[in-house]
Amino acid sequence: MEKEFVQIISQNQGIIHKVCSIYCDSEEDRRDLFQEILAQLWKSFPSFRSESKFSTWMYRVALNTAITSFKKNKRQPDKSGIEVENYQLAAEEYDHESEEQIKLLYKAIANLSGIEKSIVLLYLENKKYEEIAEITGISQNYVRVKMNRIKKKLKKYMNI
Amino acid sequence: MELKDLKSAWNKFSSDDANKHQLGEEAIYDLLNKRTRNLIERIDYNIKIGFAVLILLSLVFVLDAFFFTPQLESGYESVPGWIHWMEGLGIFCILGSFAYFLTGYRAATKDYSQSNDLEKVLQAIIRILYVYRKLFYLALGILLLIMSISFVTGLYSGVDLKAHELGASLTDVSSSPEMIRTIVLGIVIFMVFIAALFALFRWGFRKLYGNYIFKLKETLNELNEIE
Repeated sequence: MEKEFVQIISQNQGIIHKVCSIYCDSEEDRRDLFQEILAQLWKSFPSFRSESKFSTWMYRVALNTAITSFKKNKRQPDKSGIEVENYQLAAEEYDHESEEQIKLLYKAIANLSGIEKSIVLLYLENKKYEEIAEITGISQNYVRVKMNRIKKKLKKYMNI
Repeated sequence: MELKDLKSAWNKFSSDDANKHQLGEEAIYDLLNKRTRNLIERIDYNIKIGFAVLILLSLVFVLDAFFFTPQLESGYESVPGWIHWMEGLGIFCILGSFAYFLTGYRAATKDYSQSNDLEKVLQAIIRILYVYRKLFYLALGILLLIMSISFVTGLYSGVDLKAHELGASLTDVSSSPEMIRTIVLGIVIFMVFIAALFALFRWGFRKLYGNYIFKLKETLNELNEIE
């Protein structure tokens, strides 16, 4: 079963990396969270039933783990001054305006709550409200209301 | 610019970032094998250790009450029946606390899985942390119960011995001002010790998990604010 698990995770690991990039401020935190999510996926793997898509299940475990992760009393980073170098883009692949917008977006997302981060990540990943509701286990109505609030917050933080 | 207009740039960047951090199957195996315990696993481990220590402590108490003390008593006047009753009640309380704690812990951990809905996950973690806190108090309670019974037994034996030495009755010695002063002082010191231990336990738990529980509750409230 371990072999099957590692293969399937290897193919879908992008999901974990995307979750980690939203919830972590440093590479060290990112490594820790990646490992914790991996452990939780492995622990929950026997209970995975094919009633839902594997990616839906994986998003759910990864986001729940990120939202409930326990950090020992580390000094909280100043969210407004988050290291934008972490989000350095390859200059040749992105135009300057997009690069600036993505940097601003990351900084703005860092100010959101754990639940809001999960909803905005799934929204940016082009998930429909129905799927966001299935992953987070909250109603579509709540997701819709929350998403409107998040958009307003992000506009405010990004000054757009 | 609207948020939806950033979707394509986001997808390109986040995919490139994920590719940059991509791990091979060997590295994933390695991470799985080297994984450390997470908070809930650490709590589970600590609870098992704590439980074993408490059982050991209770066993010492039972042995002391029913085996060592009766042996030491031979040749001396035996301890009155009410002290034996108190010891029996103490053991009953300890066993009852164990059963209560075990039921609570099993109920709290039964539904814990990160693949559940977020609300269930949050509720389960909060419950596990509260049960863990109960173990702290249970340990302290048992310790205090054993200490209280030993304190009363010791006090009684001391007064009884003094009465024998002086050839007086137990009532004469126990009602002398010096003895009353000693008893009151002993009780005060004992109470201060109990209060200090409780305060220390409370402070330690809050320091370790206070912020975390607050964060979980805040998330749970946010989740419930519309639904």
